[in-house]
Amino acid sequence: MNKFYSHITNKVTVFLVGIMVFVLAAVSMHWILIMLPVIKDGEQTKADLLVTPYTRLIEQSVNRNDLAQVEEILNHLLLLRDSKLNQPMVVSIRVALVGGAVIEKANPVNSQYTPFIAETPIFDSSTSVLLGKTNLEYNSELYHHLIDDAERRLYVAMVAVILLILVVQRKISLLLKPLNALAHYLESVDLNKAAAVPHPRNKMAMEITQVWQAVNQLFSRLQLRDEQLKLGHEAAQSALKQKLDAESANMAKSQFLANMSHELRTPLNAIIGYSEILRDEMAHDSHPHLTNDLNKIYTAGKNLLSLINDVLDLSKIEAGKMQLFLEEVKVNLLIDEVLNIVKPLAEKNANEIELDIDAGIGTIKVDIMKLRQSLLNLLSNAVKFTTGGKIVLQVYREIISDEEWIKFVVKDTGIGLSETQVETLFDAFSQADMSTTRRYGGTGLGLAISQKFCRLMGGEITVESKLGKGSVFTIVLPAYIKEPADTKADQGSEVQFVDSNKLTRARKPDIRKIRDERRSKTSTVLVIDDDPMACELQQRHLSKQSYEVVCASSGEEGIQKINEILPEVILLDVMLTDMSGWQVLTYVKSQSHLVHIPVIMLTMINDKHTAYSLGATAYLTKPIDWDELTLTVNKCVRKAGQETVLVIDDDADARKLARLILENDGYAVIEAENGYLGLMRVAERIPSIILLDLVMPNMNGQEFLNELELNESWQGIPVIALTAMELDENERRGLEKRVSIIIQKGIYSIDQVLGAVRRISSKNQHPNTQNVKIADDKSRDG
Amino acid sequence: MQSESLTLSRYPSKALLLFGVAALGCLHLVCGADTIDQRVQIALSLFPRIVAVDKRFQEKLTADNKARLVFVYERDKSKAVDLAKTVGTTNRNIVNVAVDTVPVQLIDQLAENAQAPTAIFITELLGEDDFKQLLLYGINRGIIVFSPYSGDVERGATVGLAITSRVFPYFNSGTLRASGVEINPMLLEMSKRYE
Repeated sequence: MNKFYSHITNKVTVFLVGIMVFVLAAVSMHWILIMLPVIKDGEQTKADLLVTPYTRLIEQSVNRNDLAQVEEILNHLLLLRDSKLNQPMVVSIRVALVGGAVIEKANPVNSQYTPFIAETPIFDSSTSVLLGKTNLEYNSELYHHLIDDAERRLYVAMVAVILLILVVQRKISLLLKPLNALAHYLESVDLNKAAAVPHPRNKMAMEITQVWQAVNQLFSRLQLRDEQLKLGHEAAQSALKQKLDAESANMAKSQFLANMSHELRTPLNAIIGYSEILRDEMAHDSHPHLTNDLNKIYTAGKNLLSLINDVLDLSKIEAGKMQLFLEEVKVNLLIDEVLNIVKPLAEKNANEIELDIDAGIGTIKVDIMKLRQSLLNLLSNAVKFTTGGKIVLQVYREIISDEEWIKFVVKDTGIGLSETQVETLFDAFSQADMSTTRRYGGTGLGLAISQKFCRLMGGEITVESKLGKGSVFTIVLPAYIKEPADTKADQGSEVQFVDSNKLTRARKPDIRKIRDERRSKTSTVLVIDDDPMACELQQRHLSKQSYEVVCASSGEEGIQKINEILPEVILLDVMLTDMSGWQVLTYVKSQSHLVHIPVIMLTMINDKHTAYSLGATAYLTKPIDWDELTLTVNKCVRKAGQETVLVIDDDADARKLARLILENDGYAVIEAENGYLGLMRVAERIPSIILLDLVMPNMNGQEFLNELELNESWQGIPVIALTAMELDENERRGLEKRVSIIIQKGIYSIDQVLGAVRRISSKNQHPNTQNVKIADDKSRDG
Repeated sequence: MQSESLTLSRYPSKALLLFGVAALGCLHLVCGADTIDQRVQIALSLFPRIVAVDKRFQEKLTADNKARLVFVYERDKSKAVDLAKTVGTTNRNIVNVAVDTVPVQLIDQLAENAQAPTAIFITELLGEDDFKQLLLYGINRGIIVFSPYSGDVERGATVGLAITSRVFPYFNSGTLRASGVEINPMLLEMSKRYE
């Protein structure tokens, strides 16, 4: 504020001084250049005017030679006085004649200034002869008096201007003083308290008063705004609290649903399982009327389980716990699989399904389960809401923003949707209307889940529809979904690893004794499940398949029994009472004497990714598909006399194809997608033949062979090496020392593979891989 | 013209300004004429006195021992006649020498056979060429060429008038030196000179 004050005052002062200097300079210049010469000329003129007429008189007197008259004229001139200064006008007058005579008169004037001089010639008026001259000295005191007077006035004017400047400065200071006071007040004002500007003084300039009032108004508005902000802040806080409460409630709901779903599914699995067993037994016992009733129980149970699964999926998505299990898949295989499921329903409603897909559509990397579920949902909706119409499935790739996407478009000619219905279509538990629910059934969760699945995969589902004219649903997904960075972290946070100290307290069994005892018996399957009914169902089913089934109702009991009986297969539930199934799995795979035992996860939760990453052999979900269970257990426990081929290849399709051909030829097939998992499968059960791809991630074929050669009991296993690389002579020779047969990958390679397997199989002197291993164990012990 | 009148009537201040400028022009002409006449009148009394202070005045007299004062004109003979008559009347003699004042046309005066004058008085404003010829004539003859007209001393006339608060004789020093005319120093001191 002081700065502001000085600035204005200085500006005004400088301005006024500037004006003063300018005016003084102008006046001085005017005085020096104009007035002084004019005054000087005026005084000179006076002298000239004085001397001319008197010279005429002198001329006449000289012509008459009357010098007394001349002196009289000169005296007359000397008497002339200036009335203002009261001084003689003439200092001296001198008449000089050509003949040498001089008449001179002077006044006693004591002047420091040089007088003005006026001279004029004296002629003879009749002959024009020059007689002499008159010289007059005119008093210059008056002239200097005028100059001094003017200078004095100039000085007075300067002093007056300086005084004026000081007065103006003072006046400005007084004017600015209230502004200064206001500034000081504003600097020290506490904005956290209600503030008001002090009352203005009575004597203030109108403009300053206006500023004062404006600041006062500003304070009022600031206070008003503060109050509004406070209210807004409180409202925002309240809204935030409500949001957090809502989120917390939602999380609690999701957790509750997850828990309840488990609690609901546990008895439901029993209902479905027992009804299925009863249905089969009743069918054998020829009770068709009861079979029908049991079918209804079974179907109702399955439907209820489907609903619970949907609710669980939704709650997992909302709780942010849904994970992606990304796999590369051939699109046409996936589509064939989905259409095969939907076709019976389409035929039931007399609908025609048309597929529009490029034969060379290739592969995509997605969560197959989630994509399959989403496609099934769209297609089953299309066939459900269309009768006697046509459903078209278009699949094509598209480049959007330099990224490759895949689109699945499902078009139908069904009942369609209104705009209002479209708006709420993807909301959970919403269907087109209540009549739709009554007529077509369903929970209204399918589309909501599908949309969330697609969004989880970085894509979207969109819909275009007109009431009565059908609908078009489009799924768009990145063709190759990238692995989420935090997958492993999440996995780690969910999986609690077992305390190995606690678990290894279990006594190590006498393996040879156990195997000797078992040689004459059937294979043993250990079921670890806290639900006794689930245990009983599995026991009853597998017993029919000639397996000896042992049950454990907790994780700790399960570990104890694993060590006691060394089962051929373990069926493991994830949600146990004392520990998680993941902990048991981790323990089994961390013990050298147990690592070979195949573990089949049998659970209601969908976490295949964790299961495989921890070393599970297979993953089955409840409710149990009994046929699938039998098949899976059979794969793990090979029957005597059946030869096993371990196919190690990172290409899933290649593995499938090998499995198809070899199983058709009577071989049992075990798969592993890299060398590391291959070693794990070998440890579980020594295969008759290993079909090995040489180029794989994690552990390639050469590294696998190195590991295989380190174990004496594995050194005799024949290996068929498959390679797409061109091998030179040295490489081929080196490889031939380590493997039985080398096959170049190509069009006819699968026939070569089958031929090679048959050749090795016929030569194979090992009657049974299991026997070989036991024999080795014996020899080692022995 | 019509449009100009209309324009002027539309702007009376412009018309007034034009009128004022025209009036001032006329006044200047009238006053100028008056000033010239006054200068000539003053010069008539000074001319014989200047001739008298010429130190070689006696050498420039005519054969019959007269001071021949020539009043040169180009077009206005009557004026020259009047002026010559006035000087002749008021100055019968100069330094006791009889004065003969004669009006002569310039071309006649410049002729080879023209009678040599004691001094020349220019009665009207001459053109540049005529003035130069006359000036050269005066220098060659060593005689005074007196011109009462303002600016003539600056362009070479031997003597003229300098009028401030008083009337001074106004000599051209260069012409004085060129023509060899010698003036009484007392008068020369009291006069103004054009260097």
